[in-house]
Amino acid sequence: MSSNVNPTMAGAPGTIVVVESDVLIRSAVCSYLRECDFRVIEAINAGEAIAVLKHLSVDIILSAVELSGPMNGFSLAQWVRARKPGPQIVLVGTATGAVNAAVNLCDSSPSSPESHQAGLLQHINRLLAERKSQCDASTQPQPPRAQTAS
Amino acid sequence: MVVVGRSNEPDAASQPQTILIVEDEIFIRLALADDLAEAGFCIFQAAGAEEALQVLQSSLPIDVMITDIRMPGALDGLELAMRARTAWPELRILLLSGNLADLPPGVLADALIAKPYNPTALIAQIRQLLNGAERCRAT
Repeated sequence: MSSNVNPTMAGAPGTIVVVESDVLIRSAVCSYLRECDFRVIEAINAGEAIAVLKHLSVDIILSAVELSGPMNGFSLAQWVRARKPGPQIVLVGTATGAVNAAVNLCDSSPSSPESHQAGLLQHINRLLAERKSQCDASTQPQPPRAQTAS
Repeated sequence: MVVVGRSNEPDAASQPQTILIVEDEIFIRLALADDLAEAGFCIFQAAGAEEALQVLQSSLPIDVMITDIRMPGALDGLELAMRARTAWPELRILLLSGNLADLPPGVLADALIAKPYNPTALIAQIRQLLNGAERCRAT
């Protein structure tokens, strides 16, 4: 790991790892989230995301289901659930996957990703609020435990 | 190849200047992005030459490309720099290398930066290039 990476900054509340193999989709999503004042780390596949998670503390993993490499978004989520209980995970179907699924399932094509931005932001903010309240609760002084009679 | 929205004269007063970082090692890419974002630049990231070309061919306005030389894939940083210089002559190109002595003569770049890089010197170099410093061909 480079010594230039600021682990404190990376572990600050509101740190999101965006895992997306399409560079233009990744750039658009990351730019949008940075404009919303989140700290964003870009990963091109599950392997890079895992490398980040092994070294840095993050709050949310926003991953495409379809990824390049041997692991897809579900595999990444399984890895995280088994080894890193902290981060919230949001899986996103890519436009290609949605269109392919829609061909057989829907009467009209999927709406554009842009129309989901507000919903995505709302979802991320809700997850961060939940995570913060969990952290706050865990740092509150606990009442003394009742002694059990022997 | 059509290039839309690429600025010939970066206007620092109105918009942050944009830098495309091309680096396959995620922590070096992340560190570079952190350093340059803190300096006020707008950052785009590519993990290889193919991704970089996709970004350059898009409508994203890129002022400077910083690329590692050794990268996996069909294109390395030198080939990427050559293609970018041909297609987008106004693009400023900085090459990052762990061993500058191994570079072939006549490399097409505006600056060569040794790894590990000094963030302060790198930012100064970028600002110098964006302020219209005369280009030179590495020998």
